[in-house]
This record gives sequence, structure tokens and C-alpha cells, in this order.
Amino acid sequence: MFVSIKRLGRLSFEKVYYYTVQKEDVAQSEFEDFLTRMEGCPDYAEQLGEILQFIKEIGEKHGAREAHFKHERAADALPPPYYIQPGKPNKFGLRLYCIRLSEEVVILLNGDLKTKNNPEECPNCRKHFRFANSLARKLDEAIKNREVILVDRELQFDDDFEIEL
Amino acid sequence: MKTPQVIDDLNLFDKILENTSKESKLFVSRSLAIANQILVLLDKKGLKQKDLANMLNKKEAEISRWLTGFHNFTVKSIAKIEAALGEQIIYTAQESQEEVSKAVHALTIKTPVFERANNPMQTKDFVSAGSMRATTSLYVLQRKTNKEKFSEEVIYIETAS
Repeated sequence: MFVSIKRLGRLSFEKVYYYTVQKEDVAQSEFEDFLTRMEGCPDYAEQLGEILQFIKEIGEKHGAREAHFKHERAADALPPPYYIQPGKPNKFGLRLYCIRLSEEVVILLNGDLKTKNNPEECPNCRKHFRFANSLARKLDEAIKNREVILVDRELQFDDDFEIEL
Repeated sequence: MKTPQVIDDLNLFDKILENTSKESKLFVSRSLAIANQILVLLDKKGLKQKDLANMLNKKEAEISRWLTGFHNFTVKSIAKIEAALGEQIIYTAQESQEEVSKAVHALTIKTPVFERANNPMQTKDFVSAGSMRATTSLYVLQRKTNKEKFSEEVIYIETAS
């Protein structure tokens, strides 16, 4: 499966540019899919709002410091550790997987309501967790090989660079 | 090299935020601002999170929790951190205004070459050193050189005394 990285124009802020990915033959990007599905869960509306406000605040004012993200093996996730859900509808809450490449570049992916401590055991999050980690490892390798470079907030690729997962 | 295509439309992001309570949004904004202010102060002083933990007799994990950005700080916790770091972390609106006034006063005392014209709304007005009038006006200060040319501009707000 090929995926392409897209920049989110609406989330291109002074401190951070946010990106997402789109799988081939899929109409929506991963982050748009997350928003569409999670918007339909009223129990988690406040939590979702807090995560989006967090994304906005980091982008506009603070930068994507490592402290603000939860490490998920090669990838990352929001909300950060120790987050207390408003209302506490369940033990673990929403998880949005992402890849923090630098304090200025974050790739927002997909996620869901986490139901188990280990994401590999959670039927909702497992595929998003695995996808985020596969992509993170591919990007790490591409950055080492200089097929992908970061110039401040901009991601730049070799003309023939492709991501196959 | 090429750059990624741009997705311009993300209306759902804004719609979800609009439907989020003001309280939740303010909580995120304030707790992140405090966390980042602490991180900035630690950087400024060349300290790590574990140094702050040692100063406060806390575990490093607890300090990490504070600095993730969603922590609900108590006034007492903030006071302890301010005491340990020797720096103020949060300012009320009143305190901010007083700090600005002090800075402006210091600026005018230290820069006697600035002069103020009569109409405060013009962009090329000047301020007399030491003459703080009881008005609130926006001025642009310009430094006069020996040849009456202006080499610097500073914008400041003069507040009521």
C-alpha cells in the first residue's frame, strides 16, 4: 500500500506545521477520518475538543516539545501521559496516533477510543498503532538516507520518493 | 526535491472546536502556558526536570506529569516551583500592567534622547525623559542622533499613573 504525506493548510501555524497521510484509493486523509469518526461519539466530545485545542495551542504558541507527547514505540500519541479525561467515560480515553519529527513538524494520523492498556490488545487502536509505527520507521530510515529532509517547518522529499507500507 | 500537497479544507476541525466548552479550551491553554513557562525557565537556567525534582523533593515522574501540558496546577504547586526557581511563572493582568509601566519608566529614564510631540496619535511622536503624563497613549519613540536622523523605533504604552 502506498501512502502520501499531505500538509494540513488549516493547521500550518507559526510554530508547527501539521501534516497527515492519505492511503492510496482512500478518499479521506487519516486525520480527517479520525475527526469524522470521533465527532460522532458524544461521550468523548469534550476530550476530542481538548485534544484539538492542544494541537492548536502547540502549533500557534509553544512548539511541539517532546514533553507534550506520549511515546508509542517508534511513533507518538496524544493526549500526553497522565491526561485526565473530562467525565472519565472509560479508563483510557481517546488516542490520536501521530509522529513528532521535530518541534516544528508533526504528522497527525488516526486513532480511536482505547479499551486496553496495551494498544496491541485494543481492537479499536491496534491497526492505527501499527500503522503509525510502520510509517515512523519508514520515515526515520528515509531521513537517515536524506530522501526526506526537514527545513524548519517544511518537509521535502526526493522527487522519486514514495512510501510503501 | 518536492514538498507535500496541501489539504486546505479542514472545516470539521473548527466545527469541533466551536462546540467545545470555553472552560475546556481555556484549561488547555492555561495549563500548557504554565508548563511551557516552566520549561522555558528550566532551559534559561540550564536545569533539567530531574534538577527541579531534586529541588522540590519530588520524583522526576511527577515533574514530567506537570510539564506534559494538561496538568491542573494548584496555586500552592506554582508557588513552590516559583520559590525553587526564583522566578515568577504566572502574572495577573494587574501585575503585567505594572511590569510594563516599570519597563517603560526605566526606558525613558535611560534614554534621554527621546522627545514627545503634542499629538500622541501620530506615529512619529517622542517622549520627554522623566515626564510621565497621566494618560494612556501609544507612542513610537525614535532615537535622535546628533544629525537629527532617527535610527531606532520603539513602541510602548504609557499607562495612567
